Amino acid sequence: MKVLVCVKRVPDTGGGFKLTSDGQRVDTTNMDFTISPHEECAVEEAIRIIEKHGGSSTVLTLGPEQAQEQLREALAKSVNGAILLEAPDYESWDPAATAQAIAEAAKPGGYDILLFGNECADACNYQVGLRVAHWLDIPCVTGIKALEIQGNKAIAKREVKDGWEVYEVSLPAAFTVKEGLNSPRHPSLRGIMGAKKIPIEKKKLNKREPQLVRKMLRKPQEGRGQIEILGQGVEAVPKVVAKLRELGVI
Amino acid sequence: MIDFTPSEETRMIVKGLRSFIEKEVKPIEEKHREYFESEHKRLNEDGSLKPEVKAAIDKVRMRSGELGYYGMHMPADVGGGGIDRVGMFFAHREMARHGLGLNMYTLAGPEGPTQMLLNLNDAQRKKFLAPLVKGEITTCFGLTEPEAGSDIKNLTTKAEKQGDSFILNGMKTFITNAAHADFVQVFAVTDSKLYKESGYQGVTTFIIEKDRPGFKVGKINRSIIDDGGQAELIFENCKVPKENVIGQEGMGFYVAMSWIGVGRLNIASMCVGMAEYLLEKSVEYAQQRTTFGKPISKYQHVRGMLADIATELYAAEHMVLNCAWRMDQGEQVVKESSFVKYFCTNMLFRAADKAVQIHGGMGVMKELPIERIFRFARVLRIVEGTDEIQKETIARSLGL
Ligand SMILES: Cc1cc2nc3c(=O)[nH]c(=O)nc-3n(C[C@H](O)[C@H](O)[C@H](O)COP(=O)(O)OP(=O)(O)OC[C@H]3O[C@@H](n4cnc5c(N)ncnc54)[C@H](O)[C@@H]3O)c2cc1C
Repeated sequence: MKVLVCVKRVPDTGGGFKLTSDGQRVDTTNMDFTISPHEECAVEEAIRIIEKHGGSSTVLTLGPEQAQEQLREALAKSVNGAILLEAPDYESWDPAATAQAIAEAAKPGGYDILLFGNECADACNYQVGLRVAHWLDIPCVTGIKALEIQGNKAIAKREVKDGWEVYEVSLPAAFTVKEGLNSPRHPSLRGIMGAKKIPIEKKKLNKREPQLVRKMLRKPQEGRGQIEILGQGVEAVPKVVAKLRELGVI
Repeated sequence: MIDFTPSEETRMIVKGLRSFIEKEVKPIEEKHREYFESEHKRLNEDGSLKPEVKAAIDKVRMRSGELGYYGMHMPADVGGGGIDRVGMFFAHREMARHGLGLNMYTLAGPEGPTQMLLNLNDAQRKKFLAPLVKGEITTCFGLTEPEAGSDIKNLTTKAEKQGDSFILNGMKTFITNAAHADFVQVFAVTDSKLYKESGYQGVTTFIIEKDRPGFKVGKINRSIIDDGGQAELIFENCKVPKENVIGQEGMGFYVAMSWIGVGRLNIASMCVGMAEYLLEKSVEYAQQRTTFGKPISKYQHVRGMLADIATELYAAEHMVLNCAWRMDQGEQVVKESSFVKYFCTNMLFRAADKAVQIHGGMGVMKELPIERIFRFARVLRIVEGTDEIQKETIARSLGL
């Protein structure tokens, strides 16, 4: 079994963030970088598939040279190999161009399974996995929360209200996964030390003219919570119910 | 050139540790929340830890050992990760950044492997050090006695040679992890005359297994932090074979010296992490809490307190890093490790005092973790050499 898992280096905005003055990007000065929680699950799934079925896993990213850090984090958790598609102008790569470059890099690898996060943590375009599958002409199931490999087919499940949609696809296939698929492991110290020694396959990409142009980012208003006291004790119940209806919760 | 930017490897270690603490350790703490909120619920009548709490601590330590974080400061040839002092600064800071809970057991403290134990011979290393580095067993460092704290020239615990063995008599007090240690490290006088004359020689360090006849744990020392951590060690005609001597007979203090600087640096690094935690909590609270129609973060007095914490933190962080880096270069850092231990523990104490003040009444209530850190910070100015002992070392370095 050969598994390719694709991740994207994004700023870790856990503690809040600012935009650059031109409104084009998140100001990453003094910021840590990470991958999205969905992608963490994709990495974990790649490792588990190989642990169970044998073979090898590879992690791939398209980004700046520094994105090696995200690749090494996956290697530290015991992914076997890594590919960096180095694009110095990575911030202007749109989903179509990104998907094409990944598909071209993936083709010679002969991967049985391609895993992506359902969406990346910054742009949230929900496109790259699907577009790569399209380029490679293989089936794709998006937003899955369970995956089982049975010989040369896979059973993928997507959670819907009150149940599951179950898909059976033949391999090779692509999957975009959601947080909750598994609980990602922590890297061990030995894994971290070992990861430095694994060579990363690097490929420099040429500059592209994006089809999709970002005009401007705007930070949403940070809404402060609102407290409304609806009454006390049993008398408050009808008002609580009415409020929940108004909010569309029930 | 000095460059304190953490290496990629260090950043990965810090992130790995953070993920371990957030996703695995904090849920265990949450499950035992009532114990961590109040010492009264955490302890038995005699001050010892309730078994559930002890089990939670053991679980965290062992799991961290399994992941290789627990003993990562030890060299690779004894099963550690060989992480240097600068790397350990970032690791200790990360550990303490999550407050005063189970996270504090993820990296080895006095209950774990220390550089001093690199003085063990091969047989001792195999038996005692290897499982210690993995977090499978624990130990304690038994130096202080009722009449000998700062004044280590006043030890009365004695070990008399009898053939191939020593007979130990005496007691130790305030010893961290004494009640749970699988083996204890004890300092005892083996040559009274030499000890009296030199003050440093004539003391030997021994390993004593917990079930060795003649050795028992005395009472638990109840304290301001009351975490069931400290207890007495009592030796009554305890017979110890010479195989249990650490390093050279009569050279116990020299054995201990080899890691004293490291211990001071570890405490200082933790102080930085914990002060960061307090600053974060205090900024958050100051923005949320409103009085007279405004968040208290708008008042000059409160803003000033927060600015003070941030400024001192910056100074503390950089002095620890500088000292750690010098240590990594193989420099002697006697006065520097005193600077760092003295300044950082006091920095944390001042930060904790301000954090309590900013939180007002809530600052001293058990519902919030602030008051506990305030008490803990007070203790750090006494352990591993009091403020005054550090200042003595510094004064001596000035030729006084
Ligand atoms: C929570 C906790 C954990 C501990 N864990 C351990 C442990 O694991 N192992 C261990 O061996 N010990 C441990 N100790 C003991 C600790 O190391 C001693 O308490 C400490 O060294 C101070 O000694 P003392 O209590 O005897 O105070 P004293 O030495 O009696 O000091 C009393 C006061 O006099 C001052 N003073 C003393 N001598 C001088 C001097 N020459 N010049 C100026 N001022 C001086 C001191 O600074 C202090 O203010 C622990 C203590 C505590 C509170």
